[in-house]
Amino acid sequence: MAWTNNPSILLTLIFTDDDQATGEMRISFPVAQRAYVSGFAQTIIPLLRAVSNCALTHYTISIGMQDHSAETTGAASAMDVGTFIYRTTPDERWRQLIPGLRAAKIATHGDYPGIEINVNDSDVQAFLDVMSNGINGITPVDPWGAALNSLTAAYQQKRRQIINNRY
Amino acid sequence: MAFQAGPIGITFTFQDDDLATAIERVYVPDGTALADAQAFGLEYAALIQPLTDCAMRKFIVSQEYYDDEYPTALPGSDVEDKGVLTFRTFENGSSKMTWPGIVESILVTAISRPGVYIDMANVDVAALVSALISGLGTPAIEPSTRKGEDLLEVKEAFKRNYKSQKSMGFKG
Repeated sequence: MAWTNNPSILLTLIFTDDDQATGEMRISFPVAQRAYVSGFAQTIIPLLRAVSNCALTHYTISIGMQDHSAETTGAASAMDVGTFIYRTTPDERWRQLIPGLRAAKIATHGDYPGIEINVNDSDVQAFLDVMSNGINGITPVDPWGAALNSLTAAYQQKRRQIINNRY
Repeated sequence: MAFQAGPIGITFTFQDDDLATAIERVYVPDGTALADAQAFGLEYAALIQPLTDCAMRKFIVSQEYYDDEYPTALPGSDVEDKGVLTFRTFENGSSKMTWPGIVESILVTAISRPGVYIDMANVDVAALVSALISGLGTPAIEPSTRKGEDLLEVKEAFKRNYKSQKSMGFKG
């Protein structure tokens, strides 16, 4: 892998009008200034509110990386998705997906051969370890900030791929 | 107003042999620095690559901040009424910014095409343009083009009706 930074970091300011339609303003910054973009946003928002009659409700800061050298294995289908279901709270679940799951990572025996993911595979184990224990003190959560407490299921399924045309 | 930070999402793009793409997102806790989240994304990508036949082409670290006073729009406001600023950039390049819901009071009226051009002498416009060209914040930082080039001066400033763009803000 040869990941490189996008040349800029993107501030997206979101406006909502009287009909609840949304629009946005995008402002780019050199990537080295990423630590200060939120401060810029909160300072420029009063200036924008003076020249817009829409409600400026929130903003997003995005920073991207790209790897143009990445190649598929030659057997890739984005619809073959590895699905890992986590219990977050006693009543809630969250799923983490891996598009294009390799066939070699599927269990060949057990209750559901050809469907269940082989959680004893070393690469799968490394992934599960990060989901539970994190990297350098950063541990994944669900979108509401709840910890992924325990893996309840891991299987392959067909899911329609999503086209991403942004950024 | 008080802006509250939401969780940070890291969105990975996978591409298969048919050039179809799929995206998948992993979340890390509020308060994680963007640089740390980016470092996490790199290590996470290295872990995922052995599990997928797809090529991992890019990832985006994104954090949303929302105003906890939930401001409301003024009656009659329309996100498709855009204020447009075009800028001269490094080596005679150009760049454009738009903002939704331009207020009519900042438009020039005493010309042959009233209600089209933005009054650059207006105090609110001057403050916005100064922030976009000369920077703002503590420490002050300056916006750039998507390529990271400086914005040097405003070339044109006018009102135009553009189709509204959907928010790409964080969605759980």
